[in-house]
Amino acid sequence: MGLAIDLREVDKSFGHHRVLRQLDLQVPERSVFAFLGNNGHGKSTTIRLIAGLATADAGHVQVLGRDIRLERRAVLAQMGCLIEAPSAYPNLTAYEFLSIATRLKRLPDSEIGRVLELVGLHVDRRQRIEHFSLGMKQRLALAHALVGKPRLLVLDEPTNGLDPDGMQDIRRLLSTLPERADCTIFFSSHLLDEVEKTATHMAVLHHGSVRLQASIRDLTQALPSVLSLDVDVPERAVALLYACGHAAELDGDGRVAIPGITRQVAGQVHRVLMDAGVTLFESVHRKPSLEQWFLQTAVAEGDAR
Amino acid sequence: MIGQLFVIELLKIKRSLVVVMTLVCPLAVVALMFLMTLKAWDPPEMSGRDMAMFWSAVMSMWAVFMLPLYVALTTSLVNGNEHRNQTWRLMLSLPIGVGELYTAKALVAIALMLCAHVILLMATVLALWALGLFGYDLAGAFDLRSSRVLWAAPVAALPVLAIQHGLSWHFRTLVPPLSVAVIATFVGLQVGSSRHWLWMPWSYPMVSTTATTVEAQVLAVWLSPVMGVALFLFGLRLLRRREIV
Repeated sequence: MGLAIDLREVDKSFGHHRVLRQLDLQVPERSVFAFLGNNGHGKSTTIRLIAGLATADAGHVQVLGRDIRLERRAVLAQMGCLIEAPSAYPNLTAYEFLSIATRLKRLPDSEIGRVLELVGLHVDRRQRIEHFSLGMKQRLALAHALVGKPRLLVLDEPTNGLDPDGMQDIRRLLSTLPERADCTIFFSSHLLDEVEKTATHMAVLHHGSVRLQASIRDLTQALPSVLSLDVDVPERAVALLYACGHAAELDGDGRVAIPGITRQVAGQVHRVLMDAGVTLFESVHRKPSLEQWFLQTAVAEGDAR
Repeated sequence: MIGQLFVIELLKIKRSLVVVMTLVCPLAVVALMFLMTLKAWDPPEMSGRDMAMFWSAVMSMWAVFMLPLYVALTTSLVNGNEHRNQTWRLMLSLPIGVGELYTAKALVAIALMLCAHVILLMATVLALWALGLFGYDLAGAFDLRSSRVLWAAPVAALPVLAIQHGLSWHFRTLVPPLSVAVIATFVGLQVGSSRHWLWMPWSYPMVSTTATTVEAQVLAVWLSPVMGVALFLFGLRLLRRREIV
C-alpha cells in the first residue's frame, strides 16, 4: 500500500516559536487516519503544510506522491480540504457556494447535486447559507471538500459543533467513504471516542513531533488488558492472589483488578479463589479505551515533567 | 483560470452591499448636483452653454471626492468577503494560485468602478433631461469641449485602486484601508492643485478632470495606467513573499 501523505523531518517555525520539530508522518492510502494532539502542539500547522497553505522550513512534504511545494496545484486538484471552522459566503445559496469548487475543478454542475445528496443537504440547496445552522454549515463544508471525488480528504475537526445525530452521520460517512469513493481520509480530532469509532490508523502529535503512529487494530491489541473480578471479600482475594504472585489490587469500585493478564493465567486465578472459598460473582477481561489509555499516557507524561 | 475566478468573484458579491454601493454612490453625486442646480439657478439664468458645465461639475465631484472613497469601499468589500467569512483557506486550498485570486479580485474592483462610472454618465443624461422638464435650456448641454471628461476619472483612479486593493487584501478589517482613503483623498485635494500632484496618486482623478492645463490632464490620464500596473505588480510581489494564513 502506497502513502497518501509522507512527511519527513519537517521543521516549521513562526518567528522564534518552533512549532514542528523533525516531524515524520506516513499516512497509508485508503486509510481513515486520525491525527491527535492537544491544542497548540502543531496539528493545524501540519494540516496547513499538507494543504499547501504554508511551506516547511526544512524537510519533505509529499502529498499523493508529489512535492506539495513544487506541484501544489496538481495535488490540490485531487484533494478536498476542510480547514478549521466551516467557512462559507452567507449571501450565497448552498448550490452557488459549491459551484465555486466545481468551476475551479472544471466539473459539471451535476457534481453539486451528488455531494449535496451525500451530506443530506439536497433539499436545502436553494437556501441561503446565512439561514443554515452550524451543523448544516459543517455538512456543507464537508460537501465542498468532497467535490470532484478527491483522492485525499483533509479534515480539521470535522465533527466540531455538531449535535450527536450530526456527529453520527459524519462518522458513518467518514468510515464508509474510503471504500465507496476510493479515497484516503486524514482528519484531526481531540475526541478519542470518535477516533476509535471512525479511524483505521492514528498518530499522536506532542510538542511538534509525532510521538506514536500505528493502526488502530495494532494499538488496541497492544493495549494492556485487565482482569476485573467482583468477589464477596475483595481484600482477602487480593491477599490470596498476591501470595500466589499475581499483581492484584483493589480498584475504585471495590473490585479486584489484575493488569496485564493472559487467558491461561485468568483460569489459574479463578481456581485459586474458588479453592479458597471466595465467592466469584463476575469476572470480566477488560481493555482500556483509547481515551483511558491517552489520558493515562498524558497524566504519566505530566507526572514525568 | 483568471476568467473563471473573475466569474466566481462576481458570484461572491451577489446580494451584497458592494452592488448597492455601485448604484448609490454615482446616483448620490448626480442627485446632489441636480438639486444644487435647481436651488442655485433659475432656468432663465442658465444658457445651454452653461448647462454643459453640469457635466464638469458632476465629473469633478465624482473624481475629487466620491471616486477615491468608492474605490476604497469596493476593494475593501471585495476582499472583506474573505476576511469576514474566514474563507481565505477555503479558497486557497482549491487548485488556484494566490496571484490569480489577487488579480481576479482587482479585475472585479475595476469592473465595478467602470459600472459605477457608466451609471454616473447615464444618471447625468437623465438629470439633464429632467432639468429640461423644469424649463432649463438644454441646447448645447451635450456639446462638450473634450470627451476626455467623460472617461478620464476611472482611468486616473487605477493607481488608487491598486493601492487600496493591496491594503484591503492584507488588513482584516475595513478600518485601515478606509482611513487611508479618507485622509489621502483630502491630502490629494490639497496636493492636486500644486505642482507636486505627481507624487500623490489620489490627486490623479482630480487633475485628469479639473486641471487648468490640458497638458496636466493628459499626463494624469497617461501616467495612471502605467502607475496602476506598476503598483499592482508590486502588490503581487509582496504577496508572494508572505504566507497568507
